[in-house]
Amino acid sequence: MPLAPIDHLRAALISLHVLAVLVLSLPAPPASTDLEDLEDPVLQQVLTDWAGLARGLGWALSDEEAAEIAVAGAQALGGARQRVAAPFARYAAITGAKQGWGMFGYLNRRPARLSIEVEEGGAWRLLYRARQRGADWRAAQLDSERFRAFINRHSWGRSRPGYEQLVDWLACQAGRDLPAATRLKVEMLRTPLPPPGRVLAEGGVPVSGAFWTVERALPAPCRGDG
Amino acid sequence: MRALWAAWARHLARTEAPTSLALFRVAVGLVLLWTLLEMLRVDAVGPVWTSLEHGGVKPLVVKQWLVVALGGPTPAVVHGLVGATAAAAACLAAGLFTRLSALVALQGAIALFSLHPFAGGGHDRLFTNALFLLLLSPAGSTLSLDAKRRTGSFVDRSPRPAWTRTLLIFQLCVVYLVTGVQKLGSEWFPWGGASAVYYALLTPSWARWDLDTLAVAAARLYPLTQIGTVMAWLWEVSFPAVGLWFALRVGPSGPGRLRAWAHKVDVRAIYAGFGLMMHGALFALMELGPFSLITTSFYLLLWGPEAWARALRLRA
Repeated sequence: MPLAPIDHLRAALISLHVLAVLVLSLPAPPASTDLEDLEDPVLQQVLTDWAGLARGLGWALSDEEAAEIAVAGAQALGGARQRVAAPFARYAAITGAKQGWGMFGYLNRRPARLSIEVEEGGAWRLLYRARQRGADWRAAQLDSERFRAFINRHSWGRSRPGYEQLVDWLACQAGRDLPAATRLKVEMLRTPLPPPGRVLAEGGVPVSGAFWTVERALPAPCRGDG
Repeated sequence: MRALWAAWARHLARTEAPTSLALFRVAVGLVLLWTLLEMLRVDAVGPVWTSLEHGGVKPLVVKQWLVVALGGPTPAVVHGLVGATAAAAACLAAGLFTRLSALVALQGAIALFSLHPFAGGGHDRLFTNALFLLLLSPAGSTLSLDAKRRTGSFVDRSPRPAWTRTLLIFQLCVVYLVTGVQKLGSEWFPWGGASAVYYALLTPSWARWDLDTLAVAAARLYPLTQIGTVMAWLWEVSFPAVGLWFALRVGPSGPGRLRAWAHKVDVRAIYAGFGLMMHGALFALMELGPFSLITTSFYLLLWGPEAWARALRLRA
């Protein structure tokens, strides 16, 4: 059966969509990546592991050289992707054809868990601790996936200003829910993930300190109708 | 090159009963509806999607045209968008004013998912990609209220353009391939102990259950998680084999050994079976929102209208 002009037009437009999907799905490391970005301990671990593998295969590659190669690669790939993806950006924004499929690319083996306490009658009481049975104040809300997604950034030690805003919001909610409470304490508990043997020996994942411990007096001011 | 182009254009001009697309439409509509209702149930809409000055958790800088046109991420605008998108998702699932519903659901979803970039995930992009292609597809012409209004029957197996099904399967192949090749952490490989699944299950941000209980269970099943790690990575990076299998199945059996093999072995069923198992485990053990549900909705497209008609005992 001969092809009609409409068949060629359809094929051309669909080919453009396919091209857009392929280009937009290219990994997108920031073109501005520099050595400072690689100071993240999780990324350091990834680089150390790969450098170790290279050395095992006979390539005398130091951790520093591995970091330089990673930066050069990220800059080259990020820059190239930025250039080729630019013509498709508006198309993706309007049609929803955005791509971006990096999921669990490397694991955070030193994550942190959100912990919330209140002071009532001079004593501190645990209100909420992520993934701990019994400490479940507002758990349905705080454990919902979109809350987890932005709290996860803080678990990597990222976005301190965003964390302070979260604490302000939590203080507002605690003031409303717990009229007898006088102070709120929020912190990220360091939870380095142990190997299986240690988990079995200790009966779980031990906490080893905290960071970003912040307190607020209650009741705290609320913004808008939040 | 010319022959290749002609084959491509001919494939895209192909028609089939839109049963697979209709089932996908129902699944996408229901999963989107569930996602929004779940956010309302746990009172996450206001905190996550409205801006700080309106009671949200974070200040939101919004440039998306629809939100800007409506006046920004205020509670009224955001709840209005959620309501309209949820209603459109319900209509999409029912196949009522299907293309209009797909359009409203698509633009509503794009607007909502743009509000707080750090409070989303790959599932948001899967939704919008699915809705865009559903908008262009004949997915509402069967198993729908539109079919009932038009023909007097819910089922209309008249052949319609099938290219959107091809594109949606292509999209699924891209998702798995690209997520696989971006797995650079040594935990994914034997030299890192193939420990990625174990550590992913223990990550407090995503663990669904009490962390200590989950960790002890994962530690006891550590060898199984190692096998899961290797299998999952291999499965992801090789998922385009499903696309290749479809390409080889087009036309008669032979010539060529590979083509003959493709007619004998159902590669699609192997990949879909493993995928269902993996996404089932993810859904049971980790809180990743609608990710597993929307991804496995794409699996409905891996089977054609004849297979679904037999399975569902549909009459023309």
